[in-house]
Amino acid sequence: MQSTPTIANTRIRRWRASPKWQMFTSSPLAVASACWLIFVVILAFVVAPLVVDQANHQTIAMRFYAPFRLDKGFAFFLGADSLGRPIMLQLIVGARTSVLIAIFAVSISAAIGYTIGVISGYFGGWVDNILLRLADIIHTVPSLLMALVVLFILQPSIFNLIIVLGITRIPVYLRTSRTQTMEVRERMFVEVSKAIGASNWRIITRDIAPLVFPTIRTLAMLEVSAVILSAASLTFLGIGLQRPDVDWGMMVADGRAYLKSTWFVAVFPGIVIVLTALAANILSNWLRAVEDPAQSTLFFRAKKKKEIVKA
Amino acid sequence: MSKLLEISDLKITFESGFGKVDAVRGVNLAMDMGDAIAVVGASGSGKTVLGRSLLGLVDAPGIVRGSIKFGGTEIVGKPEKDLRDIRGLGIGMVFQDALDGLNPVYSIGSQLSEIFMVRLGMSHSASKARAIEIMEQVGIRRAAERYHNYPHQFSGGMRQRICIAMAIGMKPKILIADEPTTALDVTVQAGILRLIKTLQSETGMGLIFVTHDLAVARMVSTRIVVMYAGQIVEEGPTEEVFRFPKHPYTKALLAAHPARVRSWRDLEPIPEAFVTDASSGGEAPGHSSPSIVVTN
Repeated sequence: MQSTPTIANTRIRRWRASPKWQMFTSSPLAVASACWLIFVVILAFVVAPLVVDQANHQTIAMRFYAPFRLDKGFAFFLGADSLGRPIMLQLIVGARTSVLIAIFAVSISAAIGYTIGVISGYFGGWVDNILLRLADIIHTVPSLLMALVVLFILQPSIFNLIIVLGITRIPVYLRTSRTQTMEVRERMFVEVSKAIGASNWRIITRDIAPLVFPTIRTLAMLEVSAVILSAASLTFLGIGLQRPDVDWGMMVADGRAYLKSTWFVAVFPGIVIVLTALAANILSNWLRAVEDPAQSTLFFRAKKKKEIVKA
Repeated sequence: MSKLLEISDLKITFESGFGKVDAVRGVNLAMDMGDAIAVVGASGSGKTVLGRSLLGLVDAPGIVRGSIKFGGTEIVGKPEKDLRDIRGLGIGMVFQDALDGLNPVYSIGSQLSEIFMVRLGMSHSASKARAIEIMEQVGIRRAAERYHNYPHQFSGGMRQRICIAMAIGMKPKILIADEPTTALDVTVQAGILRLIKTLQSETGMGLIFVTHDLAVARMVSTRIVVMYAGQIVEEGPTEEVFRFPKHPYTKALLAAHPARVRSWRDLEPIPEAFVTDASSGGEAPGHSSPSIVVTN
């Protein structure tokens, strides 16, 4: 009975002693970003189901209830919107949809774009040409227009929204990964691998993909905010989410009309979108720096110097 | 009896929209295990592309014609899939640019042992042991400790040693060294050359050493091949070529070598006629035309 916690303990201790963890704890921005993202995810998937009813309860008497007052209960701390719904709870419920849409749409488009981009960049030739022209077509048709048409034909739902947003953002990743692949392909170590007799598949997966991946990850994190906002604009046009579903973008869109009189209806969800996108960005930048062996030692050295100064 | 490597009437042409460039124009060469051939010549004489063609590594606009026979099998026109069996296991290659020759995101050890695992089918632990062994063999001290280091933690000379280790680790029958010391400074150069030389005598592999440095060529080779404008203009035992150069270009090349003169004033640049650059023009009477011929 005693052995299990001991093993777990040593594992945790070893993990804490690992350079990555130490680098993580030594950079406050990375810790703050990770905490915020975890906080949002917990809100979205644990707290949200508990407060859905209360969040969608309309009380006209509470219309535009001003924020930062606790006399109507903690739920109204951030005020109420045009129909008297508590903004704070709406934000929590909206987090679930926003996080779902952001995670799935971004990962679908990143995965597809990354794979196709690396393969077409590596082999080049006519396949590359066709794929690139396809990407051009997707790129030139305004993504909003395409989403409009698709969502008009299909039923507007979270699932369809994810698919549409995922597909329209593919070219962003495809182009980036293709360009970088073409650059990495000419590097000497690829040539060395070829001379050793490595297969194309091995060169792609071992030599090229790992060098392209950090860029794609950073790009994907940037795209999180873009996707949340596109979802918002689709919702604004009335073909995205339908009430009672709510996401942050919809809240911004709702509040826009009252921006002159009651700023907080649009500003709070806006701040939450910005914070989430920012946290995702900082974390991805930090990850990129840590995973690059040449840069990660810099991180480590900087920390050691500080310790010397302290001593 | 057929030789290990037989090149006959090899022609390599690069065709682009702007015209045709003949890089190699009819090369004949044969070698066996244990031979050490130095291929010398000025830049643009087709040395490097000759080395690359032996592995089928001449890329798209380049067209290879003629015949390269390795152990009886024809390399020219062979599909990529079959070429892979020859690359590494049959013919190994060390490239000029050692600083970028290793993947920056994997540790030195994992890159070396991966080769043994994938290409020689060794087990995980056996390939690790072999990687450490070969790192020691190429003169990396405390190899077991440095196994987990990344390329950026190695100096240029050490990286080139690892590249050499990657090439010889699979015990190829022929090692092509394409100016392996050009990017390195002179002190490191001697070490690398000695290493290649010892490895060659230990394993008995054939060596094709491409260089433009005559002193280096003299040190490593038993036979020397002088290339000019995509053709072999002189070939023979190294000492003989150095002492009694026959071809005017070889003479000019030797006269341009800094080690032979006391002052730089005595140095003679390669005559204008031999400069293999289309723009400088001028053609030596009685000699082949410059290597770059632009036809529209």
